[in-house]
Amino acid sequence: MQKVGIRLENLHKHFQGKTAVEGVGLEVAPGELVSLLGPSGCGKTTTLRMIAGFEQPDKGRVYFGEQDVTALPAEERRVGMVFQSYALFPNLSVAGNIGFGLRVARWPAERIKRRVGEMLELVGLLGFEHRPVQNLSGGQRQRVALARALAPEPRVLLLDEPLSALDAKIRAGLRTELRRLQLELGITTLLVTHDQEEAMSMSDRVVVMNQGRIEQVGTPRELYTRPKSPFVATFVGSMNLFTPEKTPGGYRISGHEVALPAAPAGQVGVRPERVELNPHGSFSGTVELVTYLGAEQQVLVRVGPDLWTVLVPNQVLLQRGDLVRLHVPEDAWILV
Amino acid sequence: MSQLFRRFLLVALGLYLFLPILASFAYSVATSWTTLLPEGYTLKHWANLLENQRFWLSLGRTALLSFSVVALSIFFLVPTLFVVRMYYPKVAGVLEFLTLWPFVFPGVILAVGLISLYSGPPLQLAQTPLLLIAAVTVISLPYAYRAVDNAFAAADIKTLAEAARSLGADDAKTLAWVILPTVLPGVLSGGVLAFSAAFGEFALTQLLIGTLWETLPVYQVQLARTDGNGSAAITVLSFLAAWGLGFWALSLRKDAKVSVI
Repeated sequence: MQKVGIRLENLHKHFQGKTAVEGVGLEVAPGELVSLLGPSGCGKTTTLRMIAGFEQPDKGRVYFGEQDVTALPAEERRVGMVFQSYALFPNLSVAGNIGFGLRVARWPAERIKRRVGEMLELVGLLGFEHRPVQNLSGGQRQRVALARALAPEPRVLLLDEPLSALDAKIRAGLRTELRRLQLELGITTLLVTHDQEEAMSMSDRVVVMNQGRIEQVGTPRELYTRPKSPFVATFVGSMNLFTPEKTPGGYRISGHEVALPAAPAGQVGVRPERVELNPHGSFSGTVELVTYLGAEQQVLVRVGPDLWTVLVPNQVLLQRGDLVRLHVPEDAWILV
Repeated sequence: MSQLFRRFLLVALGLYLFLPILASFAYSVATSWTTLLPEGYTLKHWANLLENQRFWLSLGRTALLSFSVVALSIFFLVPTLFVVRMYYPKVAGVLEFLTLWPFVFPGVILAVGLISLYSGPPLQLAQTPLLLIAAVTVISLPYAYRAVDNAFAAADIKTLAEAARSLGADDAKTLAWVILPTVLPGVLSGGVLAFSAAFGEFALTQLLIGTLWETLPVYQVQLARTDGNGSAAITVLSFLAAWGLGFWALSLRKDAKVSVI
């Protein structure tokens, strides 16, 4: 399989006067898996559809490797596409679906059969070739859809919310498998998702989008530890966000003096798991709600005017109304 | 609701639906029928009917009319709905509204309007089978439309077409290999509905063309005046034809589900 990267240059798309995508530029290295992450309506799906060739950009260009494919119709782009709704052809069997792209490309019957067999093995569905697709579970259907997309050796793989229609358990399993396959085949892949856990766990890099624009591009770790905007900070993981007050000696947050690692330009945040329960902590507050999550518990603490979210080990017994003191290590503060 | 009452409802519905057919059949084989049950049974009325050339000619005309209506309905509906579903989804509502219009117009108004419009040049079609076929197609369209549109809606045609295109299929291959096979069961159901509607059409036919080009329902009404038993036999025949056709379409639906390259 030839490895090509994807390059997007300044993509714009409007729908009936509404801006869907505004100035999206991105470079995906050959063999890389990059996620487009954002809330619904952020433009991630439109971006993917412009790469697939289902939408024409108003402005900007799409490159596969060095080839400009902007004007190329979808059927000539050689992309593999997997849809949220599976989009399996209901009139064809499993083998018929997987072999569809090969039949279109006029492969000889013998080679189609062999390739379909390889694909079935790849996605763990050997023995299913003659089943009608209606008899498959959601997870099996999406495996067939993946095999169908990969069979004609596409240059890039495009996944549009591929796991969103599945049960939580199956989703987790398929997520790992999808990533394993992608690494094994080394195919350049773009994944569109609104699920930050999915994006973080599967991707080499994540592109966070909001209102048609790219907010931040980075590895999952970079996005989590160094979010560049309040939007990224709260969309990727959860975050206690504050607007600090300047005081003569330093800064004040939730009515308490704090030492910050640097002068904040805007807001200041701290992840719930970095807030410690500590009798010598500088923030005093009252427990408002305890949510037991199994391994840990999520506690809402009222500190002055603010409501803090704190993750606490499950052996600590807390209840509504308890007075607690919270401590934030200086390096836990994130300036956004 | 008690179980007894539910059973009663079922039986009552069954009687309501089947009693007229059974009674028609009984009448078609009765010598005379003045008390609760016929006095004797005979195949004479059936024999008379099947020997009658007028019956066969009218049946032939009705078959021609019905098959033409089915062909025209499918010819107009399938490409139109494909284009609307793919490229102009907002037009679907307008289209649905338009297909309801034939229900709104009483047959008389439609017939009078058509006759006066097509009585003179440029299109002198009044009292021709051509005008009848066109008119019956229009009033049968809503039945076929429902079934075909449901097939398009249920299949998410847009995504299927995109999947086919991403796999390299151009528009022609997408339509022939994916879209048509997918909507075929719905198209068949729609065809059967249109066929039934056209097969039993009486009011408009009577007004537009009457005995000049006698169809089976028109002949049946004529016959009822002189030979009630023969007319009853036609009722039974029509019912059996509709039933057979329905089952045939259902069996095609099952076959259409699975096919392997």
